[in-house]
Amino acid sequence: MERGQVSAAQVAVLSFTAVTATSLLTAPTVVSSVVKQDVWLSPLLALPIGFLIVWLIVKLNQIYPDQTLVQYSMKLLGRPLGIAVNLIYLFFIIHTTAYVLRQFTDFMKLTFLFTTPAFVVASSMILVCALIVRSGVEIVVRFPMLLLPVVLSLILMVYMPSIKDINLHNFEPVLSEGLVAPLKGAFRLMSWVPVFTFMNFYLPFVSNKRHVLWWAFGSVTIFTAIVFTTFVMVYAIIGAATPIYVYPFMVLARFISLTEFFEHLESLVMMVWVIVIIVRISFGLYSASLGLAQCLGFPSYRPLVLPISMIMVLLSYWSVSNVEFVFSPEFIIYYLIFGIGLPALLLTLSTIRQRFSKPHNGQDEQGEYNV
Amino acid sequence: MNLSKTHIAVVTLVAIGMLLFDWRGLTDIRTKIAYFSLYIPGFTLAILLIIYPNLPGPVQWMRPLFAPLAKLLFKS
Amino acid sequence: MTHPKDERSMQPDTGAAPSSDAVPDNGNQSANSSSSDNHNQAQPTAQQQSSQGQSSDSNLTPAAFKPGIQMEPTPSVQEVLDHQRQLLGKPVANKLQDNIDTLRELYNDCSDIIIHEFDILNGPAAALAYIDGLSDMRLIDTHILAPLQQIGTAGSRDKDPIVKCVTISAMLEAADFQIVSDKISYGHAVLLIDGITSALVYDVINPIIRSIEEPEAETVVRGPREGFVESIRTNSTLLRRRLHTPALKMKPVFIGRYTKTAAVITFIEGIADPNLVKEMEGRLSAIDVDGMTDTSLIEEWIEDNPFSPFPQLMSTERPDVVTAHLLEGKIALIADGSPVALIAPASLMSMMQSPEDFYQRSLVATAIRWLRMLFSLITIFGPSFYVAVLSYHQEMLPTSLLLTIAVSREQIPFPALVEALLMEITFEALREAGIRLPRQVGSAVSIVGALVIGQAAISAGIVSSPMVMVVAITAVSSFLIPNYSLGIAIRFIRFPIMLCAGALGLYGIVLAALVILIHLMTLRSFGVPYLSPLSPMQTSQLKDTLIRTSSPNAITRPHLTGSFFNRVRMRTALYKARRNS
Repeated sequence: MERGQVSAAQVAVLSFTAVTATSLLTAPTVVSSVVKQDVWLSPLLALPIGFLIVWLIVKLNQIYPDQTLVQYSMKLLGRPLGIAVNLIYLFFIIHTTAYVLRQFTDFMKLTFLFTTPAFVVASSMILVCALIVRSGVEIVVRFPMLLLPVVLSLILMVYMPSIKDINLHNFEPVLSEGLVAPLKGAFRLMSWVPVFTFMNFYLPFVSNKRHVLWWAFGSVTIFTAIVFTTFVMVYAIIGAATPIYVYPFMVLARFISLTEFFEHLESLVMMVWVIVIIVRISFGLYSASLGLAQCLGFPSYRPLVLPISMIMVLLSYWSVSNVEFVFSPEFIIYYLIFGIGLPALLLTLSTIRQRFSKPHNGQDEQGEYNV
Repeated sequence: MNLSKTHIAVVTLVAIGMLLFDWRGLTDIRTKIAYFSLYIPGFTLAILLIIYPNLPGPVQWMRPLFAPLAKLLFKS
Repeated sequence: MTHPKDERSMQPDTGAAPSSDAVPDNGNQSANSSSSDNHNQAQPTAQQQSSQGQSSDSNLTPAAFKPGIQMEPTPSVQEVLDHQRQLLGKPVANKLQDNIDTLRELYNDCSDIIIHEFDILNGPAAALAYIDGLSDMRLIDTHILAPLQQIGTAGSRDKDPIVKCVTISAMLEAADFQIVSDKISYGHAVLLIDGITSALVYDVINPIIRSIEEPEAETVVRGPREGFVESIRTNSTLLRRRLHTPALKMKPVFIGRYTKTAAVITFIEGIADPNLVKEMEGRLSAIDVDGMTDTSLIEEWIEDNPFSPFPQLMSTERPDVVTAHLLEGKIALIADGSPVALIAPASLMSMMQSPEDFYQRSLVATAIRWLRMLFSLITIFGPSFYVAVLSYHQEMLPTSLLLTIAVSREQIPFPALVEALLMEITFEALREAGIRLPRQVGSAVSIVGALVIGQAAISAGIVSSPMVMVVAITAVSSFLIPNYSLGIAIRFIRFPIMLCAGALGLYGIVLAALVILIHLMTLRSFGVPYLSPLSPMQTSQLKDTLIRTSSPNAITRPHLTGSFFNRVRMRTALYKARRNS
């Protein structure tokens, strides 16, 4: 149904942009409220888990090169159980993307558009994402690639003037409570890292599959690097007051005053965030539409995009008074089940299947290379 | 959401607009079924949410589901 | 010029399926007439039988009135068209009088056709037919009539002596009246001879063309000042004067049943991708219209996405631009009657380049290019940014500037969005009016428009002076875009962005800009992505988009699409050796 061709680099850029999206703004608060001054260790401790998740997905893609998770889970778990698990997985994707939309709407209403109805903000965002998704996978992956220089330069424009305010003493005492605190922080970061699993919907279209693993690891590394830099900058400048602010990155932007002319550059942050959230939502929307179309055997995913986006807007408001709970431990379990649990289960099932069906081979699709 | 009537009108307009936009793409009966099985619950949910904003939702049953596991693994 | 072999253009327009003359209105109308046209001559009986079989009961219905759009021509028109077709299908007869009669019937009410009957000295009777004004009468008199009437064929009644007698080199033979009438209509002179069953067609076209002058829309400070004119012969000559090679191919195509516009696909064989040429030919052959008067109409038929505001073929009036693009592997389409050439495939970046970039020094040209791109951004986002900042993000302005603007906006009754829309629309109206102004009044109105209206509006309290500033800067910056069609597109998309800015502030601008960006990403021009060196990032081709590299460094041609590669266009070994020694 989808005949686009993308490259591994584009998928990597898409993944790390999408995952960095929500983390950039709210992660410092969430993690530093638990960890205090060792906040810079948490991304480094979360890095291996990111590698694990990505490795699981790529390995599964090597075994089933042209299939997404929805398709090979139906194959591995049998049809009825597979469809049930897929529907729950798709609900997970739609649900989490809806909460991203909700975070974004809250941010916009709190900082910029005070009186605009939230419905307008959310629908305008989701309509742009639906436009991207309907145009095909090539547009979905080319879009972040094209805007990456813009995003990076805008982020740098917020960081560079702040360098003079860095106070490295904020990080002392280092590791006062031992490694437990950064580990807790790394656990909190798991609100964002399992989103890397959505990459499995794009891997079947990659043309140069040989380099996929390295690019995937690279994207996790870049994500970690960006989060690390953000944590360092934010905590070095704002210090122990970080957990008080809901959006510490915005506080950084507000502090900037270069020659008294470039002031109040939080609009730059807003522009960065809009672009990056569009990437994240289209990442999730495309995965959900494609997954649903493949799960139920439809020829094309395009008609499903608008209803799913409508459901996303609705879910972002259904019984959610504030989005604080998204960072709570219950939700992190929810993320981890579908982020690590499901791919790990599928990988074990497929290895078992391979072991036991070795005599009569040739039924499964085998990749020609292994990692 | 206080002004119910305006909101319902706007949501209905948006829903009709969506249908018009997608009508061409709904060629066979399976696509129609899938589309409407997403569209109709969505539309009713939208109307319901305008009228009763405090409808219990997925969060309500997700938290108790994962609470024991969370307490086991992590207590922060 | 070779005669139009296109079968469709040979037949006169018959609308829906032509029936045989027996049944005026019938039940067997088929959708497309062209294919049935060609068969109609050959199988009238088959159609008559089928039509009579189907409409045996509809013979009684009157042919006159049917509700709705009349897709079929009325019977009287049908008779006229059938008569025309019948005349055109006749072959050149043996007897001279028959041919003359056919010609007179064909050109029945045409007062400018001249059919001159004479006798060749010591030879058969002959007739010369041409259209007064299209053909050069001096050439006819001195080269056709004078030799034939004064020297003659010394008694022979064959074709060869007559051919040898006439001293015009461009000659064809025509065997039926379709070709004869086409040729007469182009301005050729046709010689019909008694006893010979083919007509001799001589090219004596009288060229009436505008003189070659610099195109007004694409001027350069340094560089050639030639522009295309309306005659295809002159245009192709202008190209041949620059590319002295037989590899410059010019494939003829004839478009339109009544206009039979001669169009030519030019490309350099060996550099241009043959698939591209085939694609262009295919798209042109699908055009089946009454008439095609300008290349912009052809552009609408052959482009990938006619509903996008952005042009997908580059239009230019300069032969040096066409030459440069041909050398890069693109193809160009020139049509008779239009001074505008179309270049395919086109990308956004190629339309942002001006020929001046290449005639100036590379560093200077790079700076000017960046200036141009910066000002294009200002054109698109200037007024929207003003509206958004003033309505939603006032904190972004420095305090002193904010106070000044607030003071000047105090008396204005409109919100910033309405003020901006008002001024921008007024300015677009002024610009449109300025195109149509007579020369004498033009300068006066521009002074009026700029100074008086602007100043008066400010003092009347309708708009504020910062707004006039913004509109003026936007207007000036929109003139920096070299390609006029792209300039219109950019000016046009300003307005939706302004509306989004007024509704949602800076967020609205970002969303609107992203929607336009997504549209540009999905656009393709003959298979080449529109944002080509940037969006599917091809680093080897970036050296001509953002900067203008000096010519010795531009070693490769751009690769557009497909698997046809001929990249190297220059070898700089000698140059580098000289420079380093």
